[in-house]
Amino acid sequence: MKEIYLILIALLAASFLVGIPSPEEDWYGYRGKLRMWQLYSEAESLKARALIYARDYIDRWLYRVNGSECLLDPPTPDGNAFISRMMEDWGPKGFKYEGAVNYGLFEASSEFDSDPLFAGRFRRGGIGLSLVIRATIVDSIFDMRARRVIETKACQPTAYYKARDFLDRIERNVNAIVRSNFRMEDNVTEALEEISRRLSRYILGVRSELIRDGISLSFSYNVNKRGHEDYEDIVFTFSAMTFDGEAEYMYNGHLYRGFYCKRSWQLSIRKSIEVSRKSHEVSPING
Amino acid sequence: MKWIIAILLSILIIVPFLAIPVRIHPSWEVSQKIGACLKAQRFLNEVGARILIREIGSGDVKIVRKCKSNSLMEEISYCLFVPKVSGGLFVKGIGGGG
Repeated sequence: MKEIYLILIALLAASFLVGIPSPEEDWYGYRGKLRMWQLYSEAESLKARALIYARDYIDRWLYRVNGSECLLDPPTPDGNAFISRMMEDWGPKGFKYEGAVNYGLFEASSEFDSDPLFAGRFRRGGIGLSLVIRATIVDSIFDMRARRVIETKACQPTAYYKARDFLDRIERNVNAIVRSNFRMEDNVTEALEEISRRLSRYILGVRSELIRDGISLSFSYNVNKRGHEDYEDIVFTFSAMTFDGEAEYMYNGHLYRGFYCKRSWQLSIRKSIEVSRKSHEVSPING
Repeated sequence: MKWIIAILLSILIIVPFLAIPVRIHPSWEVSQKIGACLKAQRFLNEVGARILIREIGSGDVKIVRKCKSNSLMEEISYCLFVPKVSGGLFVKGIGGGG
């Protein structure tokens, strides 16, 4: 009886050992579970990372062009460059990537909700970003796949397009005002007075239009006359600056506020002294 | 003889209990690691691009320049890489319940 009792205890004890899966087997099961969650985390944070990359790309460029003439279009972030940067981390982790990341830039003209992960906000004339991700992250160890299709839009809160396009417009229109006045008026002094009046009116109008979007404008010009034997050159030197006080961009761990575009240009009008003299003689009669 | 059998039986009975910590260990470690990667992912989806001006993480999440996610010598953690135009950051989730 005692022996049977001992054998039963021994069997019971042995059953515990048999029932326990080996730690090695366990580890493979758990490893698979862990890889699944790691893959999930990598895939779920893909949109955030693609937007952070784009924000860094655009903001870096804004930092460089702040205070410039603002003649360029903002450069579009490269989706392939983003992926190859990601692969620097995914490769050693055993993840692969299939699919594409596409960025597009546009002028933010009609209001939309900017993706909060971009940490921006809609600004009229700001730099709009569209992001399309059609991607599969593949776990090369367990052959698991995480597919994501993501489409989103965001806005960089610097009204770069507006600040730049207004400078373009001002340059065009100011030149047109000056030229048209000299076409209509042969008397240089009177032409200059009329130009001054018209430019003041024009700049005032532009200022009130820009201020609605948080942009201020400063404008100045001077006139130099260079006389020659039978003609004189009237040289206008213009200077215009648009300042976006609501602009924000991040660079090197800092948040910068305020962005300006500054442009100077010259316009030269050649007047025949003969014509000018004639107009001086004629003007009192006309007056 | 009786004593020998008694000692052997005692060992046989105790062994399964000694084995339990071994059995639960991978599970615990894995749950810690899962917690770490979920923390990193949630943090990233919470702060977004503000991470570019935030150099220090908080609590169980750190922002670091270099990270070895799978190093045995380090704390149980998981790092998500955030590429920048030059260089990049790692969001490091540190182990704990997910």
